[in-house]
Amino acid sequence: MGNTIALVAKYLADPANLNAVYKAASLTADLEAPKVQFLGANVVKLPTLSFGAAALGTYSKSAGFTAMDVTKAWTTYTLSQDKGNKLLLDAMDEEESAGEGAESGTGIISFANEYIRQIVVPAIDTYRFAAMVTGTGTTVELTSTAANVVAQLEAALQTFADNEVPVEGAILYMKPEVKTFLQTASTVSRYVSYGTGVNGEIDNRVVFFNGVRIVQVPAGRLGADVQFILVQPRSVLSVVKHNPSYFFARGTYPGMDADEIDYRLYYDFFVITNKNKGIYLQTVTE
Amino acid sequence: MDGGTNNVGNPETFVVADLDITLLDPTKDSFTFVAWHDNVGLTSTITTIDTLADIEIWAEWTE
Repeated sequence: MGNTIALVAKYLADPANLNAVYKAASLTADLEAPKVQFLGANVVKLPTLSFGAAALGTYSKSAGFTAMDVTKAWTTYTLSQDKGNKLLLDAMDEEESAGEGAESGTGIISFANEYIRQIVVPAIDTYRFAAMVTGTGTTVELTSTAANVVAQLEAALQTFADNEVPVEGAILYMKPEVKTFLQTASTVSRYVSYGTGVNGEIDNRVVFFNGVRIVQVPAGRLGADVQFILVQPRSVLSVVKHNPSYFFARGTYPGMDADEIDYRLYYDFFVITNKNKGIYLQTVTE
Repeated sequence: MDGGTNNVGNPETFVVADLDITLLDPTKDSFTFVAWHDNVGLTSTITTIDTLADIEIWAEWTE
């Protein structure tokens, strides 16, 4: 019979657990691009095509075709956000705070869940919104009220249309104050359902505006001056390259009588340079 | 509606300027309308819509 050697490190029983917590709490997870691969490198290059003339050439029966110069340039995006923490929970601290019969290791996992909700997710969301504010292709300074918010949102959608940015799949990130204005706007219709639902809860949430999904974002994450951001996800490059969480049960980690979780998140967020018109930002009037 | 027919005067949508909206009686063959309720348990009677919010309401009938 061979030796039985305990592994020094093992994944959580449900390794997707912490990632699920992140997905549930993050307001910007929908912007992530699962198809973009940074494997083997911390950079990705996206091509940009530009042409020598804006106008369609005229064909000449004598000279033939008009030449059109094409330039293909590459824009490099480099991952810069390599973050993480080590969470430790002393064995006696857990026993003396968790109550009788508490299963070993549950304390550190609940700590990790809260760590993701309170620390990780707000930091990521804040970083992504700041990147959108910096990289936006359209910025307007207006102050929303219940009387004008519908017109302001219509203007945002019209700007998308003028710039040939598709509205399908776009997301409207909105400060709670602005969403309240929208909910009380006099021209927004409410719906009456007659006994067809499964419960009787009154729902005053406006979750879509002209087919665009609204996501309410606390001002602390969205930015103090930001009222709303309309985003076409294809305009951004949001990458989580590496997001492991490792669990070390007490007795498997040398030097400490404690449970430990190591959490790392290697990510970044970019506005694609030639698609920045896919972000429309409205900030308060200075 | 539990097989009943809604009154055409009851709105499908409304805006703030429409408030308050008095709900009208629906009809159902062989049944008498009792009241509108804002819960499926039919424990909370409602006669008007006076709140700017989506709402779901149920008809109560008696044979």
